[in-house]
Amino acid sequence: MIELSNLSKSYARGKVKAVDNISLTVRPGEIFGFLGPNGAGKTTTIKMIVGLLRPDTGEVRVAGIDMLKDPIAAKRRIGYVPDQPQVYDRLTGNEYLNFLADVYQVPDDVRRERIEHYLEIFELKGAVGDLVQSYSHGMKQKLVLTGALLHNPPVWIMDEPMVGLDPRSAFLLKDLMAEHCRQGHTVFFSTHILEVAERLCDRIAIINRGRIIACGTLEEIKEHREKETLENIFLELTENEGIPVSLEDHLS
Amino acid sequence: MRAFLSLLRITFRNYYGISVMKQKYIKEKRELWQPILAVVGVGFGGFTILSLYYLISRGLYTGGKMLGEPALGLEYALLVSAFFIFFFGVSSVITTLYFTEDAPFLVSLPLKPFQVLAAKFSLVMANQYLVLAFLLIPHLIIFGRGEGLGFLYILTAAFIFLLFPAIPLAPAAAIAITIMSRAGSKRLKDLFTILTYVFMIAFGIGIQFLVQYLPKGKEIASLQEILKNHGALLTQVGRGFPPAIWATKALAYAGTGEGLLSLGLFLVLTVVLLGLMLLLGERFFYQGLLKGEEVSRRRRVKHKVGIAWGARSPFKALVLREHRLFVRTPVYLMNVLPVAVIIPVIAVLPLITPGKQIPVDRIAPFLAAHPYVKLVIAAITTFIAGTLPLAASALSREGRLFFISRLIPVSPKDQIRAKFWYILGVNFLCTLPFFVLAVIIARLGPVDILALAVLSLAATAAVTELGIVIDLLRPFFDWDNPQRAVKNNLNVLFAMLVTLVFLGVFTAVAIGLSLTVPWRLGYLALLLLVGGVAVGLYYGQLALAEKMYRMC
Repeated sequence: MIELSNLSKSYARGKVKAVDNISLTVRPGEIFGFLGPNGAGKTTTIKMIVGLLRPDTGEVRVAGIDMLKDPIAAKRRIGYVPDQPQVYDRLTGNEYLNFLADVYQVPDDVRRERIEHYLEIFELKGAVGDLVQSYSHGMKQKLVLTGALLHNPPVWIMDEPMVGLDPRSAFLLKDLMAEHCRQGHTVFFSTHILEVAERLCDRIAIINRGRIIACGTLEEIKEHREKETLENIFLELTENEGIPVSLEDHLS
Repeated sequence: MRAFLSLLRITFRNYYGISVMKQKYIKEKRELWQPILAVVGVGFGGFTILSLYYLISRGLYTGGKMLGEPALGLEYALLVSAFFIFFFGVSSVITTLYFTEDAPFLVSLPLKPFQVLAAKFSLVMANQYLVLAFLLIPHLIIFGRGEGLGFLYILTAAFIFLLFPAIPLAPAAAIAITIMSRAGSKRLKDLFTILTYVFMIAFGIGIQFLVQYLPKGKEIASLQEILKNHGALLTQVGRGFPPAIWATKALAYAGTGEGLLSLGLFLVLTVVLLGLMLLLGERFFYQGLLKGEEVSRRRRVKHKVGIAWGARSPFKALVLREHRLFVRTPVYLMNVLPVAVIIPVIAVLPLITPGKQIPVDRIAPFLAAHPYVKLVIAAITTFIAGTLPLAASALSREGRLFFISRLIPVSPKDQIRAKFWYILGVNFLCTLPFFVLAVIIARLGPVDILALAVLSLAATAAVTELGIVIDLLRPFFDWDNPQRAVKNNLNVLFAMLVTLVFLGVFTAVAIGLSLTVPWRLGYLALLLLVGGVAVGLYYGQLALAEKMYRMC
């Protein structure tokens, strides 16, 4: 569903390598966790997958479609939730959702059913007629999540989706991720919460300084390592590999 | 103090984008033509307007001197400046203090409210210097030169110039802080924006009325006449605002005891007003800011089942998004719609001013004899469309949310197509009142009306496309309130300049045709040319969109 081949991206005219020649395949029906310390290249990679950044080299294929060659077809298959829930403040919740449903060409009856379903789950039904500017951070996040699922995308990509969600919504989100997967779709998300990755993900990749330093199931990653928890492995793999200040500044 | 200075530095750096400019123009030396063109454009425009204003200032000085009060012009200039800064400063104060995105961040810092207020107030002050320079410096130069004043005058003038905006702005800020502390910023934001624009429109129309009543070619003499007849009245008005008199005396008697006393009074008042404002701010400034962060009361919208979730084509959805964001953002709306009102009012004033009516009856025969003159109507509508900021901010208005447009599965071509048709519709609608008025006054026949409407539409399309192309080439996404997306967007200025060039070529071609071919043939040739340009630009902008959406 997602294939990254020799993907690289540099900033400051090649001086800072944010993503350094990574290759990765995420299969259908898989929940894939993308871990890494701050400034490791997670968001840059995600932005390249969803078509917000153009890679310097390499290839991104989503559901078999080359993002660079046919971005529209590729984007149609993606539901993206950015790290910050940015929504048009001066639209109402339902106008925003309707707009997304229109551009993703979701038929009338299907959209109504899905919108109502997700609004019910996220308890947004009472607020969806209000202007987005009156929403709290968590409400905006839930609206963005709903928008990303409206077209039932084969590939659901999220950048730090748990941030700003209350425990109940976070639980519901995890449930939705599992449900999405059961339909044979792919879920790809970055997170700092290692327990979530440990409990939820079929496979995990750890990125540090733009390179994938570990990838596989939790068992595969644990293999040949003395540490027992993902947290310990994560710390072992990423320690002594401080992020260069220039890179961190640039990415922030 | 160090923390405050640091805050002051980042406030200015952030607002004016100093670091961005430094990086772009000095370090990377990219797109250096932009600041050069901006300086040349603004310099040229500023010089032209200042030259006219300088003549009026000289008239006031001479008039005052005739009455034995050479500083009268200076005093009026200070009064007018105070009035301008107060009224237009109120909106600037409110926007800068309450409606910027850094407000919650600043509140979270270990800074005292008065420090944050002082930093933001300094920014408002700095923004007023341009207005003050325009209104005051010509008077200062004329008075200083006329009276042969020296170094102490220059020093006092510099001092007064730097401090003067604080006198009208500090009360404006105090009013804003008091209102906001009670009402909460978000709820009042749109209301204040609309009120400010309504006031500006009324002011603009008022000035236009005044100008119409001055005899043509004798404007300076009539200003002197007004001074002579109403001098005492104006002086009385001045008495109601003592700082203007103190500043005038400090300047007129610079270096003398009376001058020093007046300067002292001026200084004390400035310090007292600033102190009171900061004191009030220390107590109430954060109240308003924090209220702005509260989630506002919910307004329920009744859902009409079947309409609320009705499916549309992506094109229609994009047009609707453009429309909703346009009509729901007062700054955008009020930068566009008033033009549709003001231009016809300005056009109609000479026709209704008593004693100065243009002989309307003679227009139709004149146009029949000189049919090419009808093109003036199309030229004006094109100019109106070219000055509207929608096209030149087509992408910029999306700001940080532009990523949504890059994310959705709709080709950049289709997105620009939606923007173009919507903006063309709005631009054409805004030119319509003038167009209708013009064809009524000129008593044009249906064939001429249709011909001019088609030509106006084609030319409006061309300038709309030029605006979009400019914004595609250099979109401005880094703004923190919508006002900056249009007001601080140089693309709008560039679009105006390009429109003037377009109209220059249009006029030259029209004159050339008028000298060589009959009207109907000339009209067709012009329509073909403008239409050809519009069609070419239409496809040009679509091709450019594919490239630029990937790069942005």
